[in-house]
Amino acid sequence: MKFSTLLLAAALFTAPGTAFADGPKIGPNGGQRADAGPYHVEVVLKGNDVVLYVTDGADKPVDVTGAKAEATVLANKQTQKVALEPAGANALKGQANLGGAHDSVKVVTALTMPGQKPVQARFEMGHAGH
Amino acid sequence: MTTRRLLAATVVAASLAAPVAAPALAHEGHAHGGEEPKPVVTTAAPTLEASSSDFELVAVAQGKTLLVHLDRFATNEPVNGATVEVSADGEATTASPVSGEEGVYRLDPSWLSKPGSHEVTVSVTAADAADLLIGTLEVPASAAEAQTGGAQGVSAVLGQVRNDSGLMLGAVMVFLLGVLTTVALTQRGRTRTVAGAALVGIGLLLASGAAFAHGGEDHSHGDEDKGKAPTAAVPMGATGASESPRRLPDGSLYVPKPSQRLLSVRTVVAKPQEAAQTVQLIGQVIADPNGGGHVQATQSGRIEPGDKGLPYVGQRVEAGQILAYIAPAVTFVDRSGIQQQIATVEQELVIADSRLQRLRKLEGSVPQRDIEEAEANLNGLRKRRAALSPALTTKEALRAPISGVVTANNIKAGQVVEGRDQVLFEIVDPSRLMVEAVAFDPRVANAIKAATAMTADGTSLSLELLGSSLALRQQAIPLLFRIGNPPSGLGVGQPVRLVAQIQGKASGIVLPRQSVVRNASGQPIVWQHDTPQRFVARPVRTQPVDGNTVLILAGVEPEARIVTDGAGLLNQIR
Repeated sequence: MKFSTLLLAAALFTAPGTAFADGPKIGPNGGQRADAGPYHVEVVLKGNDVVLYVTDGADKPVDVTGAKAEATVLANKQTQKVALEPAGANALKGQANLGGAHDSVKVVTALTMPGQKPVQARFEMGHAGH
Repeated sequence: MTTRRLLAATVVAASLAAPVAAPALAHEGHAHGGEEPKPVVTTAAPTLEASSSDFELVAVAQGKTLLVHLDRFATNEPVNGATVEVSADGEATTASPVSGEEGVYRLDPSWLSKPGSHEVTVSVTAADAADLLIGTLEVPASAAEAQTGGAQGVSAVLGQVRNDSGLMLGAVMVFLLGVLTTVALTQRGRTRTVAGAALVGIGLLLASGAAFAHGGEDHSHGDEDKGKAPTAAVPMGATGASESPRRLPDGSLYVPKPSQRLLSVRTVVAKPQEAAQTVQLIGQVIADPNGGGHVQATQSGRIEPGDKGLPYVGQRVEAGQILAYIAPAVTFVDRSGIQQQIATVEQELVIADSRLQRLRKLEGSVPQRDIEEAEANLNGLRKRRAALSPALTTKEALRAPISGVVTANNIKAGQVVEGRDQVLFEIVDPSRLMVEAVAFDPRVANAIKAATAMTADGTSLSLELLGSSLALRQQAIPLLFRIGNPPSGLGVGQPVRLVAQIQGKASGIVLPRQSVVRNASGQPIVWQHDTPQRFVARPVRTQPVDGNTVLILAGVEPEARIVTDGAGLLNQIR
């Protein structure tokens, strides 16, 4: 019995379980968090900045180099599309025209990790999770 | 050596057992909200369901056209006149409303003919609200092939494996098992060939099992899943087969949006409230003593119709209106007696008259007293004559004592009636009706504050308590209520069911009465609007609040959407 075989067996054992532990709806950066495919994404609105943080199912930050994202923002009854660019670590950043409205703003993000299909997530700001 | 072999066997067995024991774990972490698993609904056409706190959206792909059904989330009312913009694959299309249909919009996006899953964002702008909704629309390869001749065979299978994490997991397991088997074979030589082959076989079996487990599992993004597994198998009809509502194996209902529109299903959001405690009583409608009248004869005689004929049942009469006449019945003996009296009086009249004439001629020589006496005598006789003469001919008029509607007519023209006892006509004022109920519990009788009543045909009456009797009648306390604004068509004697509010409060969810229906076993249930096209039966415990509403004491969670209109129709879906 080789050690590698044991390792393989252990990997098989744990594979189904590792999966996707679910955490609170508020992310570590103080924004709302939602599921997007295999990832957890968190949106923070600061002034006119829209920041998207990406973590994996276990809430570990994911490097977003080479990733693309687009946010559709509905504020003051106006829909606008905002392109989000990687801004270091696990954050993507973009500029929207929010007009100071942070409540009842709805955001849909489409995240495309390198070599993967886009995954969507939806946020309702100013509502305690939905 | 033996221990090593034993250890190896154990490890292999365990690694095989792990995925079998926990196949559902493949995605378990994402089954949010702890909801029970939902059955997979087989739809003929690719369907996208999405909902937010304002809107509920169902998009159905029919050939190259996407039909979007848009409703209010809380009430399930169709949303008309909204601007619906659908974006997917970087292409935004504005939908146009379908004429003649409420809350249906259509568009023909080019991406709809491409197979695979499309991440769709729908921007909805209605008069009072705006929202963004997301979902995944799975366009099956078979449908797209017919149109585009797209990916086929191995490449299609590979594409599917790439898209499906469950299949991917299975494939990885097959690979790992193969490696494991190879290790075992190279160590032990040819003697292990059979065992190796068996392992590969089991691995393949598990892989397919994992794929199935994925198909049926719960998923928070159930919207995408709903169409996924089945639509891949069911080829889409050329025009998109019409869906029919049906009952799913777990007892819930699948009702497509067009059917919901047809049944005009409406919902309310359950809100916990406090309502008064109630008791139910049985009563009946009675006439107000001041609003009901009897017409009786004071003497026996023969009925003669009035100027307008005898009144009919249901005819409206005014107070004082002559309903009929009674010609008094005078026997032959009585008649001759009266005639005798008349003759006597007339004879005396003539004598008295001539005496007065005589005395007047002698005025001054006879005492004035005699003349006055003679005058008084003559006047008295004239009055007696006047009183006697009509006794044979005068009729008694029967008049309506109150304005109202004739509810009973017990006579016909020419009928001879006895005096008293017999009631000739009954009249009821329909605007002044009352309800008399009986309560068996004196505490209930004293605690009643307000009440509503329901007739057998579902008419609701608001009641005002007038009072309760101090004397028991058949061990029960009679209670009297006045009906506020009595509806037309209410009849005296009609039985009604009263819901009387007494002191004390009960908390629960107030719903219209029609929300509560009965399931096959007679249990009261309400239908909860769970997902856009799915309804779940919730057994409930209820208590009437008034004639039209019930209080749900248990069985419904706050914020659940409960069907009000159309609950009875949903209940009939088999």
